Amino acid sequence: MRAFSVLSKGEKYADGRGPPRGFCGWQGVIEVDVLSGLIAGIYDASLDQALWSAVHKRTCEFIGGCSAALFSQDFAAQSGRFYFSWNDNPEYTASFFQTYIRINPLTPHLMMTKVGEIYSASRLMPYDELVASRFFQEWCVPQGYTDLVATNLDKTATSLATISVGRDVTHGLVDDEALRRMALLAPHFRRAVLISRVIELHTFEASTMAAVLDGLAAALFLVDGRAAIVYANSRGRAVLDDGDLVARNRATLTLNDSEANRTLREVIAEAESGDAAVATRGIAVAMKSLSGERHVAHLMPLTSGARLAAGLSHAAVAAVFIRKASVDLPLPIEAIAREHHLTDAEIRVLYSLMEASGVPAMAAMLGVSDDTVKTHLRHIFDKTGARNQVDLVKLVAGLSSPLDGGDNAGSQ
Amino acid sequence: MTDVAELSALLGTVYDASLDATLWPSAIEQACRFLKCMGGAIGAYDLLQKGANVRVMWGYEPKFVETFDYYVSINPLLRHSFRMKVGEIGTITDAMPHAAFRKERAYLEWSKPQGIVDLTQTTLEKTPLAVAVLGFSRHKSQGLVDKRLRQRMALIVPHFRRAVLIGKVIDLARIEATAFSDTIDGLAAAVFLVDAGGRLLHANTRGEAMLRAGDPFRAAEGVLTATNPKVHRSLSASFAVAAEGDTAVEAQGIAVPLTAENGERFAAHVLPMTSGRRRDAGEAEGAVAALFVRKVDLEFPPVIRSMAEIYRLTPSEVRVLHVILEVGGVHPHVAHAPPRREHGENAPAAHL
Repeated sequence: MRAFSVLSKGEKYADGRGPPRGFCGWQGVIEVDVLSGLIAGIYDASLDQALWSAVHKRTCEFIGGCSAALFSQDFAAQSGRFYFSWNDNPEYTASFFQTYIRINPLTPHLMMTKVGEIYSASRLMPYDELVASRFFQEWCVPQGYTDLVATNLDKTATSLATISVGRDVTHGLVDDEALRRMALLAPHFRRAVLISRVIELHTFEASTMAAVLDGLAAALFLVDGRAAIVYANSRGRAVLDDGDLVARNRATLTLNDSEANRTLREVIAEAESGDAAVATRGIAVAMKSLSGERHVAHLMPLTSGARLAAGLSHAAVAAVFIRKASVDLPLPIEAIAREHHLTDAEIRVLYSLMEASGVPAMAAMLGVSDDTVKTHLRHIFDKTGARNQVDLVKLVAGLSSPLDGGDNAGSQ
Repeated sequence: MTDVAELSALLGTVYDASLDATLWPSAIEQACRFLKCMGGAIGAYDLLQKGANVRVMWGYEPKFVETFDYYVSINPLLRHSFRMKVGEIGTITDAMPHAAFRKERAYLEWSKPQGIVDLTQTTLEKTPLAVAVLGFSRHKSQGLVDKRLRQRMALIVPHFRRAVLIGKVIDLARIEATAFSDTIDGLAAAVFLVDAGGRLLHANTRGEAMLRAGDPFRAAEGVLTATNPKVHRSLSASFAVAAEGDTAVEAQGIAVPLTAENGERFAAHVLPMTSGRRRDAGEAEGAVAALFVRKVDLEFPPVIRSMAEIYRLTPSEVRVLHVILEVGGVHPHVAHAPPRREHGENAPAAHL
């Protein structure tokens, strides 16, 4: 026995009453301002997904329904999920994906529906067959569902993303008016979801790229033509907080070394004006912080055509990389030693080369004779292919890590 | 078409325009039909600049489109729009009597020749120095602005504002993503983003060039593959570890030296990207690691030599400069040092 009275297609309530009191969704004509307000809500939800639940509620009032959901189901994997819903029963939602998705008699019919198509359960298949199904009796009846009206947002060979409005006995079966109302909303649902996706994709791409830039050991600032900071990576933010190298000003990049700052500003302005020379050359600058620490900077113009016109003046025109030029950059000695099979003594000589200028200074640092240093250097030259000490510095530089927290601890 | 169907279709086009700005004219066209107006325009005006910096029009003849900016600038209604609240609907009579407007040059020389008798406008956006206006013109055959037009205007204006806002949100997200990827494209190092299985998700410009050359890395069925099998195994293991999470941090920055088949030497560094940015289950997984690959050669580029002389850099400083130029900038062969400046301190780095 059914738990409640279900109307068949075309059937009327025995007492001839219309939808019960409390349901006053769609008597009479659609008010344009009601439709306008609901559409506004749909696009607000495209920017703030927390608003979907309110949209679902208003959709139920507009079309006539007791619960609504934006969900996807994968028929091959026999799984799916609710993204946003209103007034659904979480227990039943879970049991749908666990159990009933496999035996839903609507599934073969759903798989034939198209993107943008408006349909109801009661018109997809003979209603008495639907009512007789285990799915209907075990899943719909206990929740009071009689029918649903839905539209497809997206579809692949095996999956479907849908907005669905469930109806109970107070709404009766889905009629032409309900379908018409869903048809008015359907393109807006699809477009709003598309807008969310476009924003999400750009945001996701940006956050991925930002994670790469955050990994750099150099402070990075993206600046506009007036040196306003559009973005700073994690090292860059630390440098701004520290205030030793640049002014503690999160809005504008100002080097404390005034001469270097002047040079930087000039080149940034040239980069903005699209100066061809700067655009292809970039620029390198050395500078000192307030405490006297030496830093090196490199400015790279961002020349992509992606800068949009029209008031969007905050587009970055240049990337400025800054790094402390002191010895705390760990030496990649282990990598070099492994690659070129250097002995411990040769490693010590290579290390001293980075710290001291000239053979006598290196010898003094290591406590050995000049000749010993020269002998080791010759062996290092042979093994690495370097012709002189400059080559060796370059070799070490080439293997030095560009990444934050980088280089092998073994070199210390 | 019924009113509601017409409204739904019009709003559809308005929001389509937030995704594709070339659709604004057809949004204005549909709005004109809905409002019974002969033409409409969206313009953004900056008090400090002459003319509009954004303008979309529909319904006017080309010769009037040409002179539109000028007549807007001398139209008293533009000044009035700076006094209007955002979203407020205005007409001529809000600013001045019709009789007075009909003595204005903007009316006599621009509106009257086209048969325009009235207009309605709203402020979409406003800053102290700039305003964005949406306006529609009524032809004499369509009658003056009435209550019904104001009601219909009030119905669609919030949607135009919201669509403009959505367009901006999308533009800003796109500009941000583009600025970051431009920066990474500008690096002298090849950068590859990979997932846990080593599948290539993104390569910067130099990375793409390296893949085209096929040495020391190539893309084999979408998987980043080092030509040296030993290096490939070691990097694959690093990517798998990076996918596990924070334990991967130890591996960060260890140089993997590798030699290409033509004998050129390279250094590869792995940056694990672990934070919880990976998207919801069921959607494409994000990158778990970025691989930086730099060429290691024994020649210092001229810029480093000249910088070392100008700034009297020590070997360690030269090394830092080299790393920053290699990774954080355009290729050093084309970078240049700024003009020489006086330095009193530090001994010259004589050995360079």
